[in-house]
Amino acid sequence: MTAIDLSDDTADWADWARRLRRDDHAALRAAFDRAYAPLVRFADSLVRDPGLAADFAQEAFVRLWEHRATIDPAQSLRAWLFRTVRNLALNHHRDGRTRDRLLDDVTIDDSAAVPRAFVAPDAAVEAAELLDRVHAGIAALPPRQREALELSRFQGLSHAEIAEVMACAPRTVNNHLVRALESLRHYLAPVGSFVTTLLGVLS
Amino acid sequence: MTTPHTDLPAPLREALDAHDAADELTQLWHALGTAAPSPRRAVDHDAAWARVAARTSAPRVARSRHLSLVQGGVVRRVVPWALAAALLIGVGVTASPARRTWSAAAGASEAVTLGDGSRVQLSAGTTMTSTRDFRGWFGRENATRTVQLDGEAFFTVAKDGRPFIVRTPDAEITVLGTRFDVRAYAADRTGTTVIVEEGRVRVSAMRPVAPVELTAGLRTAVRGSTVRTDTVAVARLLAWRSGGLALVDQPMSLVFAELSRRYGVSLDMAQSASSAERLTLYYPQLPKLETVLADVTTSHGLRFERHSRGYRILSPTAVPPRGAKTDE
Repeated sequence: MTAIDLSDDTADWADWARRLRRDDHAALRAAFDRAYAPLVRFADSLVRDPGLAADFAQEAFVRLWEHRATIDPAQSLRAWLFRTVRNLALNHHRDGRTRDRLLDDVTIDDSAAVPRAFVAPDAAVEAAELLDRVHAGIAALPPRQREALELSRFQGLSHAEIAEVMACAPRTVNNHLVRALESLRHYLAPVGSFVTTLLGVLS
Repeated sequence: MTTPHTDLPAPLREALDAHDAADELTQLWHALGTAAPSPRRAVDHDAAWARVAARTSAPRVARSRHLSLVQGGVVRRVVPWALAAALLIGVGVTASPARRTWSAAAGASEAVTLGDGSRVQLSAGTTMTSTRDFRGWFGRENATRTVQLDGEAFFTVAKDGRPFIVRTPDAEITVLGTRFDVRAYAADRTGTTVIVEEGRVRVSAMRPVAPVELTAGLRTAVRGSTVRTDTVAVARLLAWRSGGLALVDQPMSLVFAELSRRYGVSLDMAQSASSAERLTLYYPQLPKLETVLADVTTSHGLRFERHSRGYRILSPTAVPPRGAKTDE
């Protein structure tokens, strides 16, 4: 269950971008097979609605096909897909709050409530429960931090790609990530050996 | 305890190195990856792709992206005429019978249900066209249900009072409701073969020859004005329908053409390897292509070679074939 190292598939994406420009439908399929599940997860982390998340991810591929003539092979196609899903989530009319949450300014992030610490688990705590804790910690992060963490750690996007998806500077991505880790550390701090425990349980 | 930091993005590592809790944060980063706490719900991948595929279709004709014939003053003179023409064409398009095309790519087989409820299974590398819902000008129902076929297909025709006609370059196959196979790959230049599994079929050659009535278990082959009919083992000959392969007494070149279609792989034959020999192959299930190639080549004193796009069939020349199977 290690994070996917996506650096070696950059060549695949560049190849699909070129083929899509030549109306190669098989390239759409290849990109779909690679990115659909990650896009659904990302969309779900934004809208908290698996059905909607699937709709947005599918819509992104339909749009990719419609706009294939204008694809710039020099740009990251993967970032384009994530950005499209993000825009769809932002523009979703049924949940105006999503937009507010995602457009929260960085400065607001800092004042966001630090999640309350949880009770220290004893050594017998099960892995699943630990994962729930981690999950809860991430869910409690300010939206932009959580988004940066999601894209970087779990979807394997590069800083430059995340900056493109989140429409901000790469340095800002870094700040979000460092702050996210700090918040999580505070959240998990009362469990002195939490990280060690987590690693021990999982490895 | 040491933690592998290899997957830490470089800019983040720099930022963390300047941090007093750098070690802990790096460990946390690593732990997150191990935990992968991103929610992993079951994702219905295939159904999702089906929906995307239905909304994105592979283009049949290359699209012209730039239409830049008109410039400046010409536009003003051209536009009204273009509009008038477009209007006329528009009327024509809505009133004229819309055509539909179904195809199975090389290496694939497709199941099609037509507007009248008839079902058609297309073999690899086959194209079939008809008017949409068998309707003609101004949406009027045609007197016959006619499809054009290039390739091989198995038809299960629904009865609806109108005759169902399959047209190939050589023949016209007319039925009312029945199950039969038509094989007519234009590229093969081998004419049209019809095999009947159930019911009654009339085959009329395009050349002036008396039509042939076929019943279950009979096969007819039309080539030019030659029409030959014989009794066949239908299930065996139609092995392609269940993913198998049957070629009976076929010339070498046709065998490779069929293999190329079924596997979606380019196969070419060196001049020196061509021969007039005929062969018969039967596999209830499609084996690996190299297995088939080995069977075919070894039995005929040939060899094959893999190259970047597919395979090449060669005759064993003076140079001993490197890597070719010689022990079978």
